Amino acid sequence: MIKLIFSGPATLLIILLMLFFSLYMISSASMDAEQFRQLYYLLLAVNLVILVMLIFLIARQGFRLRCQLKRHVAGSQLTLRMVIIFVSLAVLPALTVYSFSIHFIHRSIDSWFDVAVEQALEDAMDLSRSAMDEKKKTMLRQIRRLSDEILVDLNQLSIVSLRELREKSGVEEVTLMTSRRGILGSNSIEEEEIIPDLPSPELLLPLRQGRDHVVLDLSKGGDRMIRVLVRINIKNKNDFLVLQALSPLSVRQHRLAASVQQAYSEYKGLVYLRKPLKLSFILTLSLVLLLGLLSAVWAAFFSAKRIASPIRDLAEGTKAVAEGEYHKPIPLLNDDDFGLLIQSFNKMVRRLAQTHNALEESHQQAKQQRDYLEVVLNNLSSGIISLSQVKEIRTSNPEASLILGVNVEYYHNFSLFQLTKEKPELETLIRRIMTSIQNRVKYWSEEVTLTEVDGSKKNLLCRGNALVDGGYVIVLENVTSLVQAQRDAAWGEVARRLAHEIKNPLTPIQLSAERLRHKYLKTMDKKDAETLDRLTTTIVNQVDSMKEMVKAFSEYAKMPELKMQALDIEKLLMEVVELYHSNDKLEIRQDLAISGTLVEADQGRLRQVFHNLIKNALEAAAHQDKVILRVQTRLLEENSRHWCLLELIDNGPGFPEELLNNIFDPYVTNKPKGTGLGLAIVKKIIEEHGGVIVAENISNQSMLSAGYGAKVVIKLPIVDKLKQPNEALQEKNF
Amino acid sequence: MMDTPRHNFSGYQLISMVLFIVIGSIIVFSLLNVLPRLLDNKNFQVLSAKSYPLKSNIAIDALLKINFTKEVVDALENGIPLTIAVEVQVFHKQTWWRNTLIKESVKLFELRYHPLTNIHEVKNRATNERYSFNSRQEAMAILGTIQGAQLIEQKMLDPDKIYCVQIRTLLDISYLPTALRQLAAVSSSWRLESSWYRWTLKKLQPEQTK
Repeated sequence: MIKLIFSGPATLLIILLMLFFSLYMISSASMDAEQFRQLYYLLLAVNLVILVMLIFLIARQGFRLRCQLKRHVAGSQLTLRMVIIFVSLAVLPALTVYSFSIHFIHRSIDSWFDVAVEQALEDAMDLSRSAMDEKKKTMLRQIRRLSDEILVDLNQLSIVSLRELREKSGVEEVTLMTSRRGILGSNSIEEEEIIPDLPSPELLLPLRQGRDHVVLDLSKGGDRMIRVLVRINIKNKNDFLVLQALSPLSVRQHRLAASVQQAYSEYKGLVYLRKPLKLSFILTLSLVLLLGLLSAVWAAFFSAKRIASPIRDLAEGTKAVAEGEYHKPIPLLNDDDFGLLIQSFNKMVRRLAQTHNALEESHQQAKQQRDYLEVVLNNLSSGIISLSQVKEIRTSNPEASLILGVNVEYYHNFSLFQLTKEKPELETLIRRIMTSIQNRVKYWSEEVTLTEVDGSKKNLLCRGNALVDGGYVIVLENVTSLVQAQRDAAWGEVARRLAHEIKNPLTPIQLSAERLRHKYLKTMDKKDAETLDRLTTTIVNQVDSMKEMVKAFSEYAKMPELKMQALDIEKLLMEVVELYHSNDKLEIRQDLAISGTLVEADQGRLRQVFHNLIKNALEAAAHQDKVILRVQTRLLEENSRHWCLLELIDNGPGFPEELLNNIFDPYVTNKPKGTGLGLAIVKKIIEEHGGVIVAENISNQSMLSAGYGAKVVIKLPIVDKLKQPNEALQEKNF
Repeated sequence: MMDTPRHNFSGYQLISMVLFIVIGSIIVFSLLNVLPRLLDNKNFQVLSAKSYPLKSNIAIDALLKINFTKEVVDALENGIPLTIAVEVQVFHKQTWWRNTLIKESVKLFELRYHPLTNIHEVKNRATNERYSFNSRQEAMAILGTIQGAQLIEQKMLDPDKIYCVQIRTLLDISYLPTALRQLAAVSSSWRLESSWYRWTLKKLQPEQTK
């Protein structure tokens, strides 16, 4: 409500108009007695209220400006300066005029009064007073004398005596009365005057005190009489009689005396009013000055605010634009120059907003495309690494981390070589990549074999492509499976063809040999017969052996479909191991830690794997007095995937070093009668289960009695883990 | 799109402002009028007053105390005439906000000092009758004594109704010279007025109450 009342220029304009009107009315009312009585206090109240309102308005403006200055609001400094300038411009001339006016009033009013005139009037007054006193005294003496002469015997007084006294003294009327104003007798020059003019009781007071009394009345409309009151003592009595004589002043005397008295009174009145008059003028002038000053101060505030307002709006608008707020147009106050500026500013902001929107839109599109690309890259089976101009890793996708076995994202903005700190095995790969890049080859493609820390190998197809900005993009593809599949397919084809080509003639060979023996054995002598029998038996046996080999080839070539199911891998392993406990020559040592860990697998095929491996170990360590087989299980977390590790370690001579790299390839064996397909089948089964199998020799078998041995590690992915490893360990310990 | 100028003043605001000034003025006006009366002003007093039937009229007698302050006496002796007002009101007494004014009478007496003859002259401003007194006290004593003054005709009064009479006296500063008027309006030395002296006229049987 207060804010509503005291805001806006029109409010103050109306207040000022009311104040001026009220002041005018006060001035007008001061001139008219009736208006003054009716309106003065009301107008005074109105004036006071309006003045208080004006002061409040200005104080409010001042307080607001102070707050704005404290908060460093745009335009507040300018407003302050303008207020100071405006107020100075208004106040200085006003104060000058005021001081001169005050001085002028003093001098003007003082000039009305002259010491000489005042003295002359005083003298005239004294002179008049002396003349009147002299006249009064003369008359009093005369009346007293005549009274003493004529009114000797009070008992014989008559109207004649009073007439004689009046005529001799030349007065207009004589009256004899008691001390209580009881008329005893009267004589007047006017015959028809019956009732004499009696003195007021107060006039008789001096007579009561024993003195005669004489008074003169010169008031306008008065009787212009000299009234002489003479006390006549009554013998032997305390009481007295009063003789009153009335003598009119001459018209001239009266006029002159009245004129002197009036002039003197008026002059004295003016002298007396000099101070209030000055005060009144000063008060009025001060009030007008105060009003003027307050108006000027407010006008200064208003004008400064009005001028600074568009500047403040512009500053705020600029600030908003700087902060990215383009949808806040500055309100247009006027159609003046500032209005034009604001219109231009708003137009500029609108265009900026349009540009910004377009930019935002294109940025959004770019972001969408980037997101799309990111999704595509994240879902690519190829690893992608982009390098900056300075050959630092700029971006990478998760597959790159999977392929390289290092979280590449951690090495963004670092050199590729930094990856070798975490995984030294990558050095060969990175060196070859960097060589190609440094040779400024725009496009290159190379197949690199990466040997992991566990000895497994990865076949990577690396492709590099130079970017326009000087950067580089490297695409890594893990083609291990592909290579393996190709190799498996090739070997399968070889096995199939071999089986097919060999199997067909084997039966006729065997039948022919048996027929030869059957037909000619009887006909031949004993010695030849023995030879034939031995030879045909050898042929038949070798053919059987070849049939076995062909069967093995056929099995390798076409393995049956896997029947996958979740099974406790450690339990399965130990079931197979348990079968060999009856062998006295074999000592089995266990270090198990993954009881309850489930693996998605074909139970039969995994049994085949474990049997093959244990049999291999037994055969390899057959020459030892005691075959020690160490079975270890543990869990492994690698690239956010959980694996179970099954390790079979024997105390045999280990794998031949020259075969170690290809030990899982078909037809690789060091056994005289081996087909070379056992470990190949094992590897194929493990890979079909998504696992990895690695063979290595160990040189330090602290746990085993013998010095060397072979170690086969199977790594299979975990489907689910029924129990935590710690729990499993606890179970085991207890 | 063109920007349009903004305006921020409404008729409601104007009405609010005028109301504020009116209410404020009434409050200040009341304070200006009431405050001097709250002060114990002993210079002007109505000492006693009564009314009684006189022939066909109701007459009043009153005794007023009229004393001037030093400033006022000073002005009088410097030739400034003073006007003393005696106000009498008759009203029909009902609930206080429904009192009906029947008659109001204001008598104005001008007091003037004549330096040559040392006389104080009292003039009835209505009739221009003049009375001269040798002293101010004498003039004040005469002015302060009201005897048998006609108040109202009896026929104007309803015998079944209750009437009230109130009287007061004051120094009327509105008749002062213009230069002195404003100063007197805000000076306590010049704000001389008695409080109202009130009594009841009941069934034409004058009964003095205060």
